[in-house]
Amino acid sequence: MENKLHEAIQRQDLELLTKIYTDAANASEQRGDIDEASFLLTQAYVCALQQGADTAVKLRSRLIDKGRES
Amino acid sequence: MNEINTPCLDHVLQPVATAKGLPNAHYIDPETAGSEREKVFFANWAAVGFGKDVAEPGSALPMEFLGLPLLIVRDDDGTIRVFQNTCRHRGMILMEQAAKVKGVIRCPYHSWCYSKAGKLITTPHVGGPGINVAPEIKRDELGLIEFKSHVWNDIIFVNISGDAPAFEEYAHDLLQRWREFDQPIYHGGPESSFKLEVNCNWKLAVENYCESYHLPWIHPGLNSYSRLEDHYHIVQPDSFSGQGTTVYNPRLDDSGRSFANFDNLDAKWDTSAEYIALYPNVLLGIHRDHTFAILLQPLDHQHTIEHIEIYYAKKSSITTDMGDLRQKNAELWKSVFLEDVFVVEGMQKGRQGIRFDGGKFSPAMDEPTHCFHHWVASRFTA
Repeated sequence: MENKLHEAIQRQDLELLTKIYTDAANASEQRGDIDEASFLLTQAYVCALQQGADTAVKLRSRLIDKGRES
Repeated sequence: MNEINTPCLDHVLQPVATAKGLPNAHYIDPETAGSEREKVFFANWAAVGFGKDVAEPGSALPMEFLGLPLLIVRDDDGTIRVFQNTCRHRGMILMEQAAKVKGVIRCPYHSWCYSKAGKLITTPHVGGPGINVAPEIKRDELGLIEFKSHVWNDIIFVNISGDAPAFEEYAHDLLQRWREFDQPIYHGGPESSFKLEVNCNWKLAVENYCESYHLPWIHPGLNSYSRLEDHYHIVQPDSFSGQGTTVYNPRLDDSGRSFANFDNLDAKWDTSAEYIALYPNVLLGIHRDHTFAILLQPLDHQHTIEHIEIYYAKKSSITTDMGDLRQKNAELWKSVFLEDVFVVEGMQKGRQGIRFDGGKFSPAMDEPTHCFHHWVASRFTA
């Protein structure tokens, strides 16, 4: 993940960053690590917001469900 | 700084026949310039930019206005807003380059995100990792600081203090004077946009612009067809001043092509044009077929950028096949404005003369200039 992340950050590829963070958040959630999942979902959410992507709405909902966003 | 003549604004506030001009300190003293920032610029409606430079929803233009960082944004509804370009968290500058904001304005430091309308949208990790809320962080109270703004003729005005009357009231007399021109205007494109950097206090550009007295000496070419005696003064105390000509008759093209006129103008405008300084810092020109605006951006008390933008009355004037004519028109104006540079820079140098008392006005010729000095002095004595 780190290499992909580094590459996406270098390229300022917000769409790819959103996907990388979301995938990682999903994996954390499956493991039951809600704190880590929330951190990663937040990263994904900010990237999605910045690019004006529709996915921001769903990411926000997931964070709200966990009591991490308003 | 010693030996500067003591500012005596009472002399400026006299009628033109007995008045003196603003004292040297208003041109060469940084401390006086600091007071001017508050009393002249921030307390009134000052021009800071043009709508054409934030043309689409999401366009964002950071700029510095007398040291104040501003962010001009066109929001998703098309409304132009002027924010302080400072994050509400740690005071970080939000944007340093003009850009198209797709989604939110994200602070590059801790990623607090604001909508284009200035609302605080999210505060990532503000309550700890992965926790984006905290009882102390009330988003409704932490939106971007927005200044009162108004767009008129594509010019973006701001009132930083927030307590000036509405723009329509502030500029009422000028809006009335030019109400016939309250019609759409069309920017002429790249060739109709240029800027001049001048080594002078911004006020000298205003003073020179609003009087016709200098035309025979500084603009002999212009004066050959628009003579001094063809000009009239325009003086609206406490608001604006300038000059008009009664012989406007552009001949840019031998083939007879010309720019189309505004609709339904009074016959007066067939040959008249007016050049008015709307205080403090915008110089306007209006003609039956085009307008221009010169926005004076003071960099400090002795350096100014003149941003010049030319607009046309009809869409038919901004087509590709009219490009050469627009180019000629822009070159004509640029040549006139360049002729003024040595004058405004020379007056700046002359203001170092420690025995200069602000200057003696010609009651016949300098009334528009005195009107401006009176306005500035009144800001200090109000």
